Amino acid sequence: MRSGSDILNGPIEFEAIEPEKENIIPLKEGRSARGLAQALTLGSSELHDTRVQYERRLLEELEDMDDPLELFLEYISWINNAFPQGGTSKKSGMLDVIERCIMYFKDMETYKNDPRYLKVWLWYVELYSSDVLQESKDIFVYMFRKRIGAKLTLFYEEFATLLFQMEKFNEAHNILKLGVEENSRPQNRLLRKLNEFEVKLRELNVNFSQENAADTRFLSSDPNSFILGRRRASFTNNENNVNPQPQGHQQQASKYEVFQDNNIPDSNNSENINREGWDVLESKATRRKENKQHSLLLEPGSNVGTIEQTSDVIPNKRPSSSQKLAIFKDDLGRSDPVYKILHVPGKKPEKIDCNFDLIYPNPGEEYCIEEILAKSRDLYYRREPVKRAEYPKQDLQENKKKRKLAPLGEKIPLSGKKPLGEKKPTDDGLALVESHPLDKKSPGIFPQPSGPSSSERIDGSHSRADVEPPLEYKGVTRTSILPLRDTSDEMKTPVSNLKETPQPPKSPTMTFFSNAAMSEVYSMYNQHYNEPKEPFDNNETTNKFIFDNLTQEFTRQHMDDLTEIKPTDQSAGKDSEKTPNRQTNEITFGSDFNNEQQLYSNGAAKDFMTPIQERTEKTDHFSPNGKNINWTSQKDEISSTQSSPFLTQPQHEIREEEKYPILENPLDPHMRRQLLAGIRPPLDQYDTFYRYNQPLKMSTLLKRIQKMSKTENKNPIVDFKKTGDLYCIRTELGEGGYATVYLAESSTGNLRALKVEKPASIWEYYILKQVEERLREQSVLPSIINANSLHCFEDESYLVLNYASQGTILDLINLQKGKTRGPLDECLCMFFTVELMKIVESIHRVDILHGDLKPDNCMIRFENGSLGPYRPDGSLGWNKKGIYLIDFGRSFDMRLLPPNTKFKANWKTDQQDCLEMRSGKPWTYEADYYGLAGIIHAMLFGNFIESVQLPNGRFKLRQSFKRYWRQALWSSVFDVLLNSNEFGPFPITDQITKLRLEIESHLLDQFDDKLKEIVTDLELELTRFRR
Amino acid sequence: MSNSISLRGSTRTITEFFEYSINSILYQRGVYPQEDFTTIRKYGLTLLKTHDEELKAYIRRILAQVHKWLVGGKCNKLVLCIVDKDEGDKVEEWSFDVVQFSKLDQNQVELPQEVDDNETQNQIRSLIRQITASVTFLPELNNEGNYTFNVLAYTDANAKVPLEWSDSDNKPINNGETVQFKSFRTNDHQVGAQVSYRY
Repeated sequence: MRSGSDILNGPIEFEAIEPEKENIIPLKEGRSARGLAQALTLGSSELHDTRVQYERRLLEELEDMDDPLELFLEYISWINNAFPQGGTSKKSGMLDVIERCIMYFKDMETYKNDPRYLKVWLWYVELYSSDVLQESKDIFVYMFRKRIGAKLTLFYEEFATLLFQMEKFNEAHNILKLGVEENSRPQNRLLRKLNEFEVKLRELNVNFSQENAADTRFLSSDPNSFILGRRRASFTNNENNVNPQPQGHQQQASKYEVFQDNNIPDSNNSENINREGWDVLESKATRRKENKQHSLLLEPGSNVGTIEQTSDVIPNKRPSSSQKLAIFKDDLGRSDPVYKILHVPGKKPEKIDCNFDLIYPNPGEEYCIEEILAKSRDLYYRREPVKRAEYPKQDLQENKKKRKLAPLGEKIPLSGKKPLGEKKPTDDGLALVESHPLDKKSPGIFPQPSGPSSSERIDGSHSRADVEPPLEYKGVTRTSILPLRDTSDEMKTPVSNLKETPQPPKSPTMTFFSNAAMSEVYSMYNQHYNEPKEPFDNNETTNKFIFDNLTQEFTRQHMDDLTEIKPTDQSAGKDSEKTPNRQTNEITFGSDFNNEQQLYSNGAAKDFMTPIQERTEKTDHFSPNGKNINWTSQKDEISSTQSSPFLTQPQHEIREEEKYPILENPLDPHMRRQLLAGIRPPLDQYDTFYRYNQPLKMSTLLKRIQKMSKTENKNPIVDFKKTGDLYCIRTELGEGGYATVYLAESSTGNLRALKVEKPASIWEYYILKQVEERLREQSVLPSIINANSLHCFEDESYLVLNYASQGTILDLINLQKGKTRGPLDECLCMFFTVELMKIVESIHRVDILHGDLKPDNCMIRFENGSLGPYRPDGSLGWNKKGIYLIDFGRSFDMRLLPPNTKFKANWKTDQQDCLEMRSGKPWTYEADYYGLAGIIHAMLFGNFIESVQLPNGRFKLRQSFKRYWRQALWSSVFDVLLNSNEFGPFPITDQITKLRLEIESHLLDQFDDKLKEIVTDLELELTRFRR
Repeated sequence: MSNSISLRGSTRTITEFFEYSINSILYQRGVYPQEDFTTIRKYGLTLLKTHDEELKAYIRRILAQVHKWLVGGKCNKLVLCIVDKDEGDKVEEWSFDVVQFSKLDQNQVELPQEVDDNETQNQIRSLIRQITASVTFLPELNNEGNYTFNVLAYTDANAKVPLEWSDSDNKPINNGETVQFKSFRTNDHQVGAQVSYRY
């Protein structure tokens, strides 16, 4: 120990503090250097002794002291000095002491406006809630209600500063003004602060003068009304009274109260108090684990009584779980936006930012936004039972019809019954149509049930004469299931009846798009929406079934009404678009499309369709496609899409546009067949190409057996007569868009991948053989999957490939995710990137475009063999490590096509397809560069690539690189790959090579040993992918 | 002659140190807004220096005079006071004692050995570090812009005082605390620093 006298007199040497300076938390009011120097020399036992001493004094003397706060302050300041690490450290026990202090004095009138006490509060806020502004605010609100510091300027200053930080400028301004009203002390300072604040607000262009009251609802617009003792007392009494449940925990009680008070519309003030902020301030520790505590405390069923009371305010069925209650109460402001995710099979889930629980509170019930609004303002539910129970839709329909027929109704009295009718058409109308006076008298109120029915009676005669047979809308209304529009029309109807000069119908079409017709349309959409749920097999019988179904619908609609057919047709057309097998639909499809065009030309129809947003989106999507089909049908060709196996006519169209030829349908099998027919030497001369002039009809069988054999352990055998090879199918490895890949064991015991395609396709075999041929003797060849042979039957083809057992890069990414929740190690990403670049460079050099680069098309190739430090040239065993590129089904041999040919994708694109493909522009090598970028992205980030367009037209990744990655390197890689068209004429192999060399040198410099370790470790793990 | 050169060199070092320490203190204690300062490298540290022309000129004027006094051996203490604008109270006092070895009684104190320039720089660096670290115990000077500063120079009675400097007496800070920092030496001077603050 240092000599005490030295420290007590004269300046403190900074050296005494310096070694600990990082451990000292600065205090607002500063620290005594002397105290610090002393504290730093004290041992823990001495600290303990002092603490015990203080605790004893708190226990024994506190109640007898004149100024008990003094003792607390002393204690707190001792802690501050003795624990320079700061009060937030657990060791200091500061939290406990402060909480005891503020709780002890919180109801003592003498201390409420003691600046020292207020400072303890502020200290508490600063120390324990400063990171959560909302929590700080809650504490301030609590203090405000308790009137702690209500007469002190400091309180208002601090509160306003906090609110200012939260950017609640109006509230902050209000708080300061409240302080002025309260005559808080020192008033001058507060006034000055208020002025400064207003200046600041003006600088920020915040309009603070208006809507003051609305913003400080949590304080109530009139603060005095509730913060005066009387109000507060009644409020606290209330809290005790409404808690009838004997087992109610105090905390629970206040929670219930929140709900109950919401039901009493008159007690606005107390409602506001209760709704926001805390009534009871609990210790920090309790607050923290609030939710957890509730789930333990609440017994099922114990709180049912209280919740029932809330049920008519909030119409949705909230599960009466305690968790919900807790969350509800904690909300100071609004809750998070509620959304709904729709899952439609075969589509991406759709998120709708709308509270579906409000719109569809119960099955079969639906409310529009206006209704919900009305309900929330208590204007709605009085009418609700009337409408739901006694007002069937047929009546509505009639009512609506009547509006249209009104001019007719007027003519009749004129001609026949009443001579005065000319002057008073209104009276005539009233006399005839009984519902009119009713409507007139109570325009705002819903028409009584008798009105419409009477109008129906009267209208009956007219409507018979109308274009629509009465039968029709009976049928229509029966199927209408969306009452959405009806309700809004109900509102309109009385109004339109009031207009004594009814407008003649604009056009006949208007009639048919009446409510019921519309809901009929909607209902049809709804039905079709569900249809994809039915499992489609490539089975002909199911297709026929669908076909029947469609025709039925058409015919039925034709009988009903011509105009109504349009929307149906459209949906049918859309439906057939989805149907995988085209043949059965061919004829209908063409005619559908014509109808659809009609529909588009019809402006009214288009208008009417807009209410459903999703629909319009789809039509937009559909129309370009439709145009294509139309174009082909003009040439009397059978409409079709890319992969139609039943195609009989040439489809391949190369249109000269600008400078380069564009291939519209790059995957078209017929075009491929034509191309392949022209190659020299012909395919049939290839060693491993076997053509059979017979159908095999195995693939469907395989599929079925495959499913069964999972349980029965019975493996099908494929026999290739020409080679005498027998392949025993072990399991299914994967299923692509056009083919299924099986793992097969040959008679010699080798494992092979068998890619079965139906209809037969020799394209991939050709590409693979070309790659093999053109890259002969090159080191990169082992990185591309090797086609052993192709057995091509009339109906299906069997491509025998080498089997890679170690899984794909996608598997690896997922494996890594499961292991560390993170993406791959950066240097492993670099390694794979280099490998991929090598492959892409070499195949591009020989004019092969892969066209479908993605993580699941890259198999990992870690062959056995010892490994030295990383060598990019493949030495030291590194040629045994790398990847296999597979799936050349979408590939192109550019040598077969005219130079500079571009493609247009006519398949459904997704995030992993390149930007040009997605936007429908022609593309070539971009596809591979973007695909490569996608793979690298997936490896680096562990998710699929997403890019954004910069203002200068370039693309960059949406996500940003990790701080510790080689950011410059990666950003240049992605810049080139995403904006490949800006780097000179395609292919930009030189650019890629440059990038690759850069990465290689990085790997060589920094990671050669690390990479070796990672790869060796991975090799062991990857064995689990072996099947 | 050589003595005179070394004296001037030493004085320049000290004046320079004053300049940087005054800037640092003004920045750290929030006497002037942060935006008025830019970072520079000095003494192997990143320090902050004002780019407000008016303030720069003011400091320069003070230090030019202090420099003259130092060369003449007339100044033995420089004090930077931070003053509350409203109340006029002194809140903090940073004082730098300057001891010129040649003026010491040769008999009482043994003359220190020579120090090389590097050593001086090292000492200055650790002193400035301490000044920077002093925020751990100094109170927060809230409401920024509410403070200003004064520079007092303690000179010999016979020193020439220009017109813009006026006599003043330094009041001690009431019930304050004082912390002594390290000191640094040149061949001719020793400079110590301490801060007194209200607590």
